[in-house]
Amino acid sequence: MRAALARAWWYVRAVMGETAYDDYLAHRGRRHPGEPVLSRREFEQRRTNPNVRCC
Amino acid sequence: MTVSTPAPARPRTKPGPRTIAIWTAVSVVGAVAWAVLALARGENVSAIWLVVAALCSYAIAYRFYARFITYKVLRVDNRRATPAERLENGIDFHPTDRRVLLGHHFAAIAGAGPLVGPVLAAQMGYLPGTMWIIFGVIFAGAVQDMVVMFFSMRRDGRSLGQMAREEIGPVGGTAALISVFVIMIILLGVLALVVVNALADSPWGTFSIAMTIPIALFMGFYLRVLRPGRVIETTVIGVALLVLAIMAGGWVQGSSWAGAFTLSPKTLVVALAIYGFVASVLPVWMLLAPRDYLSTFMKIGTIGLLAVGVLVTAPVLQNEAVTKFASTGDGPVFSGALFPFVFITIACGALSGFHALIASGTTPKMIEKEPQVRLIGYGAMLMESFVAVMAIIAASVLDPGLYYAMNSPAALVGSTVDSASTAVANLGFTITPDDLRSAAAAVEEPSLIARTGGAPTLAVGISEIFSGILGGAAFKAFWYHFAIMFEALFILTTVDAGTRVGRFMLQDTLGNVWKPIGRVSWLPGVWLTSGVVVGAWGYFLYTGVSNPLGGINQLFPLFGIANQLLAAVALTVTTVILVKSGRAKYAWITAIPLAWDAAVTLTASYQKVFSSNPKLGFFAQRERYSDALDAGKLLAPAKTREQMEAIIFNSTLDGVLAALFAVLIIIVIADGMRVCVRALRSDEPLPTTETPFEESTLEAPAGLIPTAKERQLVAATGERT
Repeated sequence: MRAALARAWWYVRAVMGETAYDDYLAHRGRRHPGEPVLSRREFEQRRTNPNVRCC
Repeated sequence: MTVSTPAPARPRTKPGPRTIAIWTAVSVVGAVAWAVLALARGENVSAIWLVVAALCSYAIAYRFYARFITYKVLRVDNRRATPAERLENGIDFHPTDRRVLLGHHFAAIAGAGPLVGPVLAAQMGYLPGTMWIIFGVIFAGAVQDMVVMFFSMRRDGRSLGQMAREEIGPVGGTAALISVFVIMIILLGVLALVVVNALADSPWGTFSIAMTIPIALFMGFYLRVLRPGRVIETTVIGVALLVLAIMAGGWVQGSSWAGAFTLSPKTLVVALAIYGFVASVLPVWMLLAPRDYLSTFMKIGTIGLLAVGVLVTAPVLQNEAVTKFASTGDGPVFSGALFPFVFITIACGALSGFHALIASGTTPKMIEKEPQVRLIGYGAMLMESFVAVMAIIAASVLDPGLYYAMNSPAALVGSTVDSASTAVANLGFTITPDDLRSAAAAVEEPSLIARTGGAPTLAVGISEIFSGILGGAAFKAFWYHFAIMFEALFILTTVDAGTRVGRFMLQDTLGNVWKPIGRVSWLPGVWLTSGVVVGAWGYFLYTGVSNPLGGINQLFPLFGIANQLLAAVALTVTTVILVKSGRAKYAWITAIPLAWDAAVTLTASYQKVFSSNPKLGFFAQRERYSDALDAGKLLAPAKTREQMEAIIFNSTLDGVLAALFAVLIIIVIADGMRVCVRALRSDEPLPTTETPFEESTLEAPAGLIPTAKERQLVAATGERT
């Protein structure tokens, strides 16, 4: 039950884009370890929302 | 070259007895549901049969046809690295969990379109629309979305326009670019018209929608300054405020403020144009992004609730299976017979060219593994189709008398309950003036007569279904305005986002002629191009509300033709790529939908241009009114000379556009065929722009539910399945 709730919570966060910063940190850690990273505030300000919407 | 690596074998699985039993059961249940729908005449058919027929058909199509296309035709390669893996930059190229990407892609493709079209098409009865929605998506719409997504993924996420230019040539590419721009303008004009028709003279609706602007601004500020990136808590706050705004609308309607929020259609046009301009030049984070979170949440929530509502209340369909308008072609909602106009009216939900813009570009840059295009491309489109089925159910559970009173233009039904009751009787249906009055009173609207555009009809249907599960009759007015809010909210998001996309395209094109205007940071250029785009769709919107003949019945066919024109471009590009990459024997999977789409669109354009029936043909309509004007007469519904002139000008413009669309389709298809013939004649394969093979090091499941083997492979890498 707890595991199911955790998965649902993870899904909601991921779909809404809340995990974008965590993903960014993970990406930097993997590909550019040791280099400085953006703060959450800076990252969210730079993040572009493509937002093409259909009819 | 595409076939430089040997095509990977389709994963062979010998079907066990359990699998065979399950798929036999699905087929039998689906066949029974279709048989009930096909054979029932003049009896009460439950909406459940539509749901069952749809779900079983989708399941079979996804399991067998989509799988065949994925492995046999496209030859997806699990060993090949996707652009997300090769070009990962943590921003736009980013391998994204397949279920998350399915959610993003679905939210991007499904908007007001699949809700509006089916409601209008209910004029032909529930059966033609439903059949087109289900078979159209299986053989055309979902195939287009998936194949465009796959080819864009093999080309580092190139857009449809770029692929048209590179794979077909400059002529086809330019025609494709013009199509995209024109469809955008018409789309925005028609969608804005839906909002205007839903809000006109309704203080409740207008107040609630107006409140979404300060709510979105507050959310934008909160997300930007107070709590960066905390999307969920921001959305929870926003939705709470939104529900409050809907309830407050009811109080405003009964208070002395009501006058301030009772706006005429023409005032709303001006308000929408100003809103569209301001919203599109503001930074995205201020208004667009927070509004998008709200509308996505409302969309998923309402559609989910609607599905539950239909299953729990099992409403009976009041609409006929096939109405007489299907053959006579003189229905009041839109003119023309079943072929081709059902297939024009229902675009989103069955086959929507607009999706090709989203399936190329954004989504392909985020796919983890190639086989996932089946889930994300084909699967998301099946989900949108299901939304369209829900919409046709919501329109078909209404009393047909009420449906025609709401969806006929004011020119036909007048403005009083008595004139509407008489007009509906003349159409061959019945509704008493008292019933019309009480239907409006139940949702606390001043009137429901001639509320065209589909949104109010859908809202009445939704309030009918929702009040059956939550709150009862006392909540009907709340649910009605909830549904209006839900549609208006994402139409306004589309207006904002679409104006931006149109502006970027215009800046990009004009930038080739005069450099400064192409710079996205040069404000006068931004204002000028935004103004041009808003002026263009604002003009169509204005003609829509001022045309005495009615806006929706004149403009919606044009919107449908434009959308199917874009589908013709997308299907031509994919057919050309299939032939060029040596897969001509499988090119029918997109060539047959293309042939069908071309037949539908060209027939519709032909009738709209050349029909001698003034109700159908734009030029015949023009001639009828200009002859009368020359003779010094006024023809109903025009009451003044100016209105006569407006009808004449609008008919000419609409007719010219219908002809332009037909010419564009012919150019794109002819240019595509030229390339196909050259490819078939050439001894050497023609060059394509596919990115070369690179080995993938990621492991991720192909479908929604991982197989046991995939679970082991992914577990070894420590990722989630």
